[in-house]
Amino acid sequence: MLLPIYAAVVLLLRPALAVFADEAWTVDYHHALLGLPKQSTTFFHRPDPNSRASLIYTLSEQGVIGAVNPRDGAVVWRHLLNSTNDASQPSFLRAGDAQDAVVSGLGGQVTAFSAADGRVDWQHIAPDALVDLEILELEDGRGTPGAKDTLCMSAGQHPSVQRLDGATGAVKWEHKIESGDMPYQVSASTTEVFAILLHKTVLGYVKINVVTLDPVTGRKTDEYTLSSENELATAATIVAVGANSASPIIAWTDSAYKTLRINVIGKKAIVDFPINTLGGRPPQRVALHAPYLTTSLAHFLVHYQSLDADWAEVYHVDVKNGRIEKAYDLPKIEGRSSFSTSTNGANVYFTRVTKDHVFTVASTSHGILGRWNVDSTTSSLTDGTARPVHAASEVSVKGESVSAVRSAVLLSSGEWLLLRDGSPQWTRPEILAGTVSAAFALPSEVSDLVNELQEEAHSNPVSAYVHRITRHIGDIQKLPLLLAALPQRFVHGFLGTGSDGSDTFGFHKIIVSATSDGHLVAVNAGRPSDVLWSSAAVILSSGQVWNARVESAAPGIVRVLDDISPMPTFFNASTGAAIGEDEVTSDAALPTSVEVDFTLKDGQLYGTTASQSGHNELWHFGLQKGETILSLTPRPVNDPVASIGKVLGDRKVLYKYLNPNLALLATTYAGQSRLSIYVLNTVSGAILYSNSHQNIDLAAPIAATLSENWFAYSYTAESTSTAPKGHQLVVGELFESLTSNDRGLLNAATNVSSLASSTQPLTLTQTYHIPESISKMSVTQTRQGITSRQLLAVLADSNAIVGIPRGVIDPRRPVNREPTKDEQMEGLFRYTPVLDFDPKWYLNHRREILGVKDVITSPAILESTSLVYAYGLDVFGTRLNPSFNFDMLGKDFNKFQMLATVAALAVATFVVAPLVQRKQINQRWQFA
Amino acid sequence: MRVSTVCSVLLSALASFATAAQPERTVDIFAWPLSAAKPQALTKIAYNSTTATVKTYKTPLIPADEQIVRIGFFHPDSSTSWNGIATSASNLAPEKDKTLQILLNTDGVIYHVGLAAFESAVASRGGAKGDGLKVEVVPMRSGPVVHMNKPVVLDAEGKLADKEPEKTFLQKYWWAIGIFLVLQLVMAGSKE
Repeated sequence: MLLPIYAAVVLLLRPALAVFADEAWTVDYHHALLGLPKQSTTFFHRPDPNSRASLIYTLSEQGVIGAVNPRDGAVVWRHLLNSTNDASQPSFLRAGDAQDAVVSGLGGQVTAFSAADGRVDWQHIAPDALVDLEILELEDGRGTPGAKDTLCMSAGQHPSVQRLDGATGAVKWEHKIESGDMPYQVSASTTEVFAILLHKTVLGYVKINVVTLDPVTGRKTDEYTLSSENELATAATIVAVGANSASPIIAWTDSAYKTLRINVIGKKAIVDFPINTLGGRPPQRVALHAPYLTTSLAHFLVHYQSLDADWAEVYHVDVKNGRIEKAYDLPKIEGRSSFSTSTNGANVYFTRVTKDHVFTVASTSHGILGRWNVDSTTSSLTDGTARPVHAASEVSVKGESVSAVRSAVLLSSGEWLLLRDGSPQWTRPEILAGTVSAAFALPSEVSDLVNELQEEAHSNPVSAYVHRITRHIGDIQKLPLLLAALPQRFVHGFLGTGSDGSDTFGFHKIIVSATSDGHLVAVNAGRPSDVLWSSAAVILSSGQVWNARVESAAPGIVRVLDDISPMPTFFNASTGAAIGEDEVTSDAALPTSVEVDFTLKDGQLYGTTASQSGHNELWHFGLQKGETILSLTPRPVNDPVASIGKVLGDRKVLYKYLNPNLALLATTYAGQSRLSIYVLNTVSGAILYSNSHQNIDLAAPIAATLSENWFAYSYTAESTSTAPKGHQLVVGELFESLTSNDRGLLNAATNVSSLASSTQPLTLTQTYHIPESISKMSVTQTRQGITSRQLLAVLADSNAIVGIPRGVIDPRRPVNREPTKDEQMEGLFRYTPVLDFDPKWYLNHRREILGVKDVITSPAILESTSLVYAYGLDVFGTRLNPSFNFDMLGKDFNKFQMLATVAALAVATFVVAPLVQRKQINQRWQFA
Repeated sequence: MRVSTVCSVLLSALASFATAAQPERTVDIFAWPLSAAKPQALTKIAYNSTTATVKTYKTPLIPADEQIVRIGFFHPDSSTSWNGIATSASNLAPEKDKTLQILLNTDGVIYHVGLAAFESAVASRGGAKGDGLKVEVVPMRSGPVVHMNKPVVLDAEGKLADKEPEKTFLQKYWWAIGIFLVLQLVMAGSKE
């Protein structure tokens, strides 16, 4: 009878150990990002031809293909195509008209996805890196009914054009390009396939060579060279090769942007148009926007961009005789504008997005069909901090007029914005997908007051008094605002709804991220939905990747180190303003008097001291032949430890080896599948612990971390005769001695010199099998280090992050025996060879966190809490309480009930007090 | 008895042969005071994968005001790149018991050095004694491995092989029967 009740009680108790269910989606946040969309691979497309609903498809610079719902900006589906994150690699994304398929090309891989749900239909490995990819819009009835075929052009040793079956991805025919010309693009009209090749002349100029292919057999039917003997110095001035329109064109300019030369592919005539600068500066960029459908009118728009203005010209092509004529001009507008093409049946519309307006015109006449104001003041587009980079648009047409237009605009701030008739619907902070480094900035408010008080203490009494009075006047001016906010704050606190804006718990730290395209972006860890500021920190040449590292320099200030400038640059974390180094007050929390520096350079690790001139190299740790450094992890600078020892079950103490100058070095031997681990003293260069693992899969990720007096690393071991291939996690802990209440050689020494002392720590290690490989490790940080720690492990294969409690991976877990009473008291339990990741350890719950490269942690003001921020492609952040909320009330705490109880007790006291008093007086005066 | 003696003699001979067959390497260790322009030879050490001996030892000349001395060795193929540690100059004083540690990698080649120096009273037990310098070999540990549980061994019939045969009723409860019998005897005796 009692047993089921007991079981029910146990079942009720168990979930209390995990995150509270009501906190799972409130304390953590996740941006499922795609990366910066490219103009050529971003478009609106209807996955279901029968429905009018369309999705935005993109293949981003970060190599993520995805579909976004234009209604709310939510990701419908996405796939990470390459994890190398090489933005310079050409990538292609095409969708067939009225088809439930999108075809992507990246590297040498062609993949067709179902447009509605993102399932992979087929995959094809091209012979070499892809140069171009097109969908063949053939109407001749001999093509496969249903799915449309794909044309792909690949470069490399044996360049070729292949036609792939739209349903299976099988190669229908292959045309090998044997002329030695460089393949450039592939294009198709309704009857022919054109391979555009570039021929290098002896003088170093480029000639455009067009090879006409039969779409059914792939045989060459014609070949001609466009007469451009010495006008094309490089391929960079080829503006566009219009693919798949009713009459594909090829357009190029001279390097000075004086004339635009256009050729209708298949016809030999070239038409020249002088570029009209409209009395302004010459253009810096010329782009061509043409519809992608064979059924559309053969109209196109040429977009000219000068330093300060944009203008455009619209041209019409006569399909029958291949004649091109200019139809009309679109006026010059100062400031950046972006153009996009959309189609509706045969009609073609051009949409122009500027800072203030959205215009739509038809390709046939210059009359404006729709004009809307960009009407939000909150958008970074309207306040002038960002400009449109490119856009993709979709128009809804009612009769003759355009009733609505939706434009997905990429802003120069890296936000992806959807404008619906000019009003912003949503923004996605896609710039964060390119984060290369991030850091928590120390909160600045408290330090401002400290600085002011210090100023008063150091100046003479009179000026200190004046300073204090002005400070108080400044404070009084804030009083009305404070008083006005007080009732609301009280109500919020009382009902537990929302935050009051103050950061008493330190949850609202600013995170500054450096992105690969040279931007600095700041987000608030407490309110992550909006980007605080975003600014271009450096100007990069195209294709260059910013290799930057962000660090917290002082309260409210971050320092950025990169390979461009030799000196670090400083930025205000709350505004993004660059500040000079002299304005940075040195941070009291971080030790600045560094005696010994250690550097990793050319595979040599060495320590230097700045105190002596001349031979200032202190120690050297050069690698053996064939040895390469995998990672170097120093102990975090700010790594507070509350207890210098471990309290055992019998109240004795085991002393930790706490050395602030520790570093963990992991090296591998090429060709020997060997992994070596060294724990170094970074002052003396002495090796405190080292080991070597044989038979390691070096292609699998190897992660390592170091904190307090323990380290952890993981690797994948190859199979041996006794063990299968598997992932392993090693945890080691350094102690001063392994005898309790004994510090070994150190005795009662409070200060120890790394140079003079000869103490060697004793290291305990334990190894576990883990279910999957760990790509990156990190450790939680709290303010005082009282809270127990968690080892944060990024699981790249399951797109997750787990927080492994420190107690579970304690190297002192008894092996092959049950723990003794004392060990049980200490919380140790029996060692198991397999460490399974408990579902409660998953910080991401059921979300998928793609492409995480690193996890950073920072203490909050509350001791129980550590802030966690993961970046790479997706951005994920949460608050962790490794020892649970011991200093904070949970959301389930009923403030109303508590106050009501207090009030009721107060009332009862007031009511009962006279009665009791009367009774006591009566007792004294009445005699039995 | 005799066979085992012969075996052990043979084995020990083999072991000593194996040790002897290991290539003996030598390394020159230098001491380099931080202010000095170039290093001075400290000791020459011959080592193999298990033991090391001090061939020569020269007490280093360290300026009186020098705090830090570097101890290291040059890479065999280079005269400028070196591996070594920094230590306090007082650790090389003659009154200290010094133990030079030769850290060997998995190939048995030196990759780093260490120095442990103690006041003579706390002298540690070391390897071969040199002229005021002991030397010990610290081989590279092999990485920790997973402690597996005991494998389950099944016999040909697919059952657990080392399952103990169950005890019979008499084996289990002989003591109860014994007590019962003794009680009966005692009771019978007391009745008379």
